[in-house]
Amino acid sequence: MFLAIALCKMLTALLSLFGRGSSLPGSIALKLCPNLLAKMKLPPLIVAVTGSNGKTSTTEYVTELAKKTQKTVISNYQGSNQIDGIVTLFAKHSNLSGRVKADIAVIESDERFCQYTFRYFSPQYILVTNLYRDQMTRNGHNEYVFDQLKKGLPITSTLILNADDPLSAAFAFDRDDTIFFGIDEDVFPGSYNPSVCSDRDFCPVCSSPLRYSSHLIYHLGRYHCSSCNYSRPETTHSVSSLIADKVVIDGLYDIKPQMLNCMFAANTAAAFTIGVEVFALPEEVVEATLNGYILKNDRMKRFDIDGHKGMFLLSKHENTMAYNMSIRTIIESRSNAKTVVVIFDLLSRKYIANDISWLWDIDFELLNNPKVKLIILSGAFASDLATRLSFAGIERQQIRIMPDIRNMTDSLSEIATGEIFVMTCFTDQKKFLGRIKEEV
Amino acid sequence: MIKIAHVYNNLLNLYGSWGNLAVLERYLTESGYEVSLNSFSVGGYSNLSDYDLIYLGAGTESRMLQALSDFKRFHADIKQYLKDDRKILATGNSMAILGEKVTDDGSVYEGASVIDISTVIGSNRNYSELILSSRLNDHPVIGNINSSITITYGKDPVFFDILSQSVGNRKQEGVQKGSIYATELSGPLLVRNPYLLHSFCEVLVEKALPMNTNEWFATALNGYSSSLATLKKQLKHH
Repeated sequence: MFLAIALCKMLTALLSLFGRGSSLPGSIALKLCPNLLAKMKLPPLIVAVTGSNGKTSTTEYVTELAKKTQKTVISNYQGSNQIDGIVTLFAKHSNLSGRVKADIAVIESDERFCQYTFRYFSPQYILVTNLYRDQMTRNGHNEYVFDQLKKGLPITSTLILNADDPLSAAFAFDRDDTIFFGIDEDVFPGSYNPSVCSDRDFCPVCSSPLRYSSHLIYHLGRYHCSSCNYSRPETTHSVSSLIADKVVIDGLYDIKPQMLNCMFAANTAAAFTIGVEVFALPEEVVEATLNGYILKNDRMKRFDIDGHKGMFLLSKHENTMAYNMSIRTIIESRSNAKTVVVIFDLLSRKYIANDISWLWDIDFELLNNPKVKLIILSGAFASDLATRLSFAGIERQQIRIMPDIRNMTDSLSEIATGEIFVMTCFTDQKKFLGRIKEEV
Repeated sequence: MIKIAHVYNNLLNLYGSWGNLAVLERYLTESGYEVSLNSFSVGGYSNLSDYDLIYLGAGTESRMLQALSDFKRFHADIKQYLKDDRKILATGNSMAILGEKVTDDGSVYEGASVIDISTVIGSNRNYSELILSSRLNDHPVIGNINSSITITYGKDPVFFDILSQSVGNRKQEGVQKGSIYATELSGPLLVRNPYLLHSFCEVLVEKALPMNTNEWFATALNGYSSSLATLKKQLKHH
């Protein structure tokens, strides 16, 4: 253990000089000592955050709240969320005998990797944000992720679950002390779109038809199965209404999220729940901490391209919710004339994966909007995007197909009409952002 | 009129399966045919003889088993449907519904037995990208398999010969028996492969069709050419 930790610390320090190294040091340490996490003396309170969407944002919120306890806090929200990244985090903050010098650890964990990470230790609390269609080439589908994640939720951990999501809320079965958060009925009246993809018709428990009295988005909402009586559980804390650009939690606490949509609202409710129920912070302190908080891991950037203003929306490829939230942000923005750029050039640097099926799960139909004047499709899959959009009711003359991202970026300011919105993923973002000037 | 049924549309709708129907409907319409597209699911009334094509898409393992269970009520009708030379297209794991049996965690479920395959549902996911050839035309087909099933093929004629693949060493894929076209390839297969779409439409209408000359089809062909070139390169270096 001593050698593994020492090497991990050295590599972490060395690689940090190059702005890298959140997973490699841990990976090497695990080769030297596979059960290192079981041998280390970990912080007395560990809170883990997992799920398909909102992991990183919620982990950052929770980390900020943990700091309000005046205790020493460590977190991996800016690093790798698989077991090697978590080893790197703990080793970095431990002494050579393996005692981690922190009171609280807030850990973001990949949902499929919980079963490996939490084999060695059990977080006292695990928050599952939601389960959506995400990275289907790697994850298969969300029922498969449910089965994998279920193996990684120790029975001794208290779960904090999204009441509105019938799939992830089903983790509460056979557990007594689950805490739920959610969004009350009719808070986001226009958020539901009868989408092209559906996971909402059948009960995740008994497979009978699942009925909804109201929908939030996709399979989220107020559900009830008349066969097995599975229904949306009561929440401990929830978004009860909206006032201007703020969400109101429990009818009392006003919090301005970075973006006012149901994803950010749910993340805020989740973080609020942990602040109050786990860290035992006064509600007012939680409210003040989260209100107007700007995420360091900001996935939305403003840019200027030859005097033309624009917004970059980092949108994970193969993640239906991420793209749909970006599309909603674009549609709901105030500008009357919009140019939308979608870049799809690469799915994976590691694997052979050229899947386009996820494009057919995204509600590109929403771009069929009079304020969207032009849609530019770029990257190696530009033609596949154009074919998909041709089935979304968007007129061909509204679309420009420009596979070469460099040429597209260079001519964007001349072609664009109105405000520019660019959507793409981590794998492709530098191909665009590397050529433009971001605003601070 | 070409009558198409999307069967178990709310169960078997993974990986953009609906794209196959959208593109079929458009291609046939632009070829001068009137098309009706209907759907029915668990317990829903339907008379198979009302349709010229039945389509089954990909689903999660539990939803596929749910569909397989409901499809028992059509086991007698489906044989008559096929005798009448009406067509079935199955993509992804739904082809298991047409086979002899499906085994899941020790339990064995009876299939429609119209194709000679047996399926086992496993616990691991398989994702593979493939280049294949079909008997419908000379153009290579690109596709992917994303499933946790293993299919054992019997003596039925194959749908595709596998030319290269990213994972595994299989030689053949799918079944093309009479008017049944069943493949484990998932996603919007007919969107990605415009030549396959054209040939399949010819199968449906039972006559040669002129190639579509509309702009969207040319765009789809561009996407196909680009993806084929990329995949060839990737698999060569694999």
